[in-house]
Amino acid sequence: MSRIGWYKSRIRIANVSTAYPKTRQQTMRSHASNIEANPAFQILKRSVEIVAKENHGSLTNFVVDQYGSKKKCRLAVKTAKFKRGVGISIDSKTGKVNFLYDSYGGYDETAKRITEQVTQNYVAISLIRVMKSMGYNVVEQKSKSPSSVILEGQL
Amino acid sequence: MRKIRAEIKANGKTSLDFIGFVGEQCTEEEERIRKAMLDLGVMLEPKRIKIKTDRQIGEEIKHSQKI
Repeated sequence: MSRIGWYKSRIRIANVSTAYPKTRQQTMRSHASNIEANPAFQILKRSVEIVAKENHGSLTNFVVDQYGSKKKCRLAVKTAKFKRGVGISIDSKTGKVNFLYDSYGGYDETAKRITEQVTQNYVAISLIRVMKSMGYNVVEQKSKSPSSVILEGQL
Repeated sequence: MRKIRAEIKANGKTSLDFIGFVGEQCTEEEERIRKAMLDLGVMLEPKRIKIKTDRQIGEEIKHSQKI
């Protein structure tokens, strides 16, 4: 029986420190140091790097609002079209990935596209790793739609 | 030959097409993939599953034999 499945993707960077119950303060400190060693965080960083490269941008750790005020975040990307940047924060309790940006002034679509590219890259990188670990030979195929990524894995 | 064709759309919506799998193999493979993806922080939440007809499966097998 072969089948086709359609799925909605949600990204969560697991909080490694929750596996070992500690005091609240210890957990917070541990989370901050552990998260960057987490393979999921490495994938997220790689996804953001790709977006930066594809959009002639750069990787930073802050975003700027319309008034020029800086806000620090764990990862951020600023591009040629959106210099204020799109930041990424990770909820320390749930691991939920949140995007942070000020799109005031007609930047809604540009900023949204950046967040979508990060998500798409994250899912694609993860899927490549998973399929390879299961013994598949994975290649990227050309897609009819420029906004889609097609991967083909063969056993 | 067994194959998985994945399409990842801009909004992160993903489809997984299992080609050339026999019996419950594709269900097991789908579960393994979803579990491994979860370990990497991606929750693939099923929205729709379409079971292929015997004819579709037959055509896929014939096509993969030609290749």
